[in-house]
Amino acid sequence: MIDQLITCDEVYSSTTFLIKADNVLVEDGELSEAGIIENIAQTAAAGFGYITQQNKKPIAAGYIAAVKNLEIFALPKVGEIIETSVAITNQIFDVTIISGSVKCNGTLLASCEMKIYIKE
Amino acid sequence: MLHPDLFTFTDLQAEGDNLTTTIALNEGHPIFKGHFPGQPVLPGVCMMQMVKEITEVYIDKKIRLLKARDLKFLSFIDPAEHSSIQMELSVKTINDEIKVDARLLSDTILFFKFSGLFIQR
Repeated sequence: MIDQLITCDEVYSSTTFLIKADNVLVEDGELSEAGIIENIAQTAAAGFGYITQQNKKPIAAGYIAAVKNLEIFALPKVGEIIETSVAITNQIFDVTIISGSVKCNGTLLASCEMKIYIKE
Repeated sequence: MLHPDLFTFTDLQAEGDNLTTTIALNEGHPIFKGHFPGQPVLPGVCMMQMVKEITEVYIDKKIRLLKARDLKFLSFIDPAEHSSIQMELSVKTINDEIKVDARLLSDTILFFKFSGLFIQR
């Protein structure tokens, strides 16, 4: 649930995503809260995946283990493009902790921390 | 909306603020073809959406999530193995705010714990 990986390094990644009406997590013309969380998780996944590929290592599946301190100020509408940024704040064995935020036209829509379990 | 294509729920019972319902998952839904190919797992975000949709039916209002302090995804849900699961919810409405605590579980496994604050749309 992302369109383009815009920036990416060992710590930060950012993506853009155009909200389309036929998305399974769009309801009443807006991307749902679940869609926002999935977009943050996939921004992290795109960053991990890109770096993993650069390092010529096999791609692993990642699963959301926990979401903390989630705040949602507004939901993006169909036709809008969201910009999502993720920063890795900690890595402990197979668990990566990230902090993510979603903006639309410069306005903050949502932010949270996430624990992602990476299954090698 | 994930209901009724991805899941359906029956036997919704309320006692005070506490609800229980039985959820049936549609193993043939396209979500499971992509998440993940050959290894179907219910996406965690769908569990969260199920909490919202069941709460909306119960209170008969459209709601939006404002805050969630802690959501825990504790165990994978393979739709073939767990085609029927239970959801327990506590739904407390204070003015426009709806506080929901929920758990998704089978007889032996706790899959998901949710605690969040919704607002009426």
